[in-house]
Amino acid sequence: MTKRWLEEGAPAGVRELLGGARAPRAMRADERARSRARLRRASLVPLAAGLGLWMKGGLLAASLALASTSVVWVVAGGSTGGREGVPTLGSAAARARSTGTRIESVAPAATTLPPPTQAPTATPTPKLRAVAPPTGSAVASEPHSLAAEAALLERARAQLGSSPATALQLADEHRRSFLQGQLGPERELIAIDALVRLGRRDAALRRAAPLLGQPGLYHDRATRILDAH
Amino acid sequence: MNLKALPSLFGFRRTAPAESGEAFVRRAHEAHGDFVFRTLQRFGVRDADLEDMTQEVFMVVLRKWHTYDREVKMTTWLYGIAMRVAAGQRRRAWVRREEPTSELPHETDEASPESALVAARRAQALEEVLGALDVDARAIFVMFEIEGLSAQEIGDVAGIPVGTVYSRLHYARKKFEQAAELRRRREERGTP
Repeated sequence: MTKRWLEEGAPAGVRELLGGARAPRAMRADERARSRARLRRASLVPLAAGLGLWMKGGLLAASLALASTSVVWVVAGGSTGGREGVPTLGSAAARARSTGTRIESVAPAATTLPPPTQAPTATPTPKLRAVAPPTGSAVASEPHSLAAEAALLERARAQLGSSPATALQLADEHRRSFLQGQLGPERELIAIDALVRLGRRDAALRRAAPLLGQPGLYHDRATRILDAH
Repeated sequence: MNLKALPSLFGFRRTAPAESGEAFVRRAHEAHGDFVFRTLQRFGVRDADLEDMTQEVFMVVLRKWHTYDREVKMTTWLYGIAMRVAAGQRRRAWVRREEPTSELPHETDEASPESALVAARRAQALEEVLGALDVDARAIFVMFEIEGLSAQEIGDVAGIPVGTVYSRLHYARKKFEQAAELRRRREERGTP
């Protein structure tokens, strides 16, 4: 089996399928640039998480040391019959109750208790997390961008009947404005429809080729548009 | 006593301690980004998902760079990661019945719209049949039958012996022929 199947005499069906097969394509320059940029951004996240973990580790060690010190203190206080003024676990809990702070265990109490002078607050003490802060802009801009995309395409769709040329212009505007948009196939369907209505069937077919190249919903819709006119 | 052998005696890999994870990934991306991109296509990742999956491969590299054994070719290591990423994506796509939603290519090399259409339909048919192969067999089949790589070259890339390349190729051809036959019968019956 040292020769290609096509050279060895593959069955007719196989020959037909493999005849026009294309080798995998190379990464384009724009794809490479985007990939590089995304990787640069992503490599910062583990750094932040690592720093958080390191801080958490340090705090844990400190709280353990503090807790063991306070246990020794309590035990020492108990053996002498409980001296006046020596803080015990019970007194710490009582102070916490008075300031509105909840104590769940010895160690967290040592690190999360606010100073006595601090005003009592209704909100629980925030816990330290080893997670990088959420990138608010990225999260918030996503739905906004999707809404903007949908609005632009809706405008384009509304123009299909009266002015297909305007619809095509708006579709191209979407293409330029939302390079990483989520409604790319929808835009393509509008553009194909507009081209067909403008009598540019060749261009419509060319534009439909990627959609027709893969089975699914968009394949069927593109076929319907091309068949309808 | 050979001091250089000490790390392997204690089970450590020969990594690049002088290099940071970030620098390692950047170097791997510059040198082999295109290889990963092509390899993902060999495993059947669709054009619409290629950028995301390439990113996912390099995110794995960022997490696992310290486990890289320098005695293994970088491309072989990346090939293994890309295969797992592609297999995972195929499982997820199967569960969600995903539709492609990202940017689609607009340009084709075909001279006329009709030939572009014929080429697109042929590519779709080939994709359907290749989809019947598992990712590993598919990649070997694509490299040998479509890209024209030799068994030795494929073995080097995938990190497997030449004999294994041939046995997987044999299996892939069998599966491909069965899937092509099934597709032909479906078309004759006129069922999708």
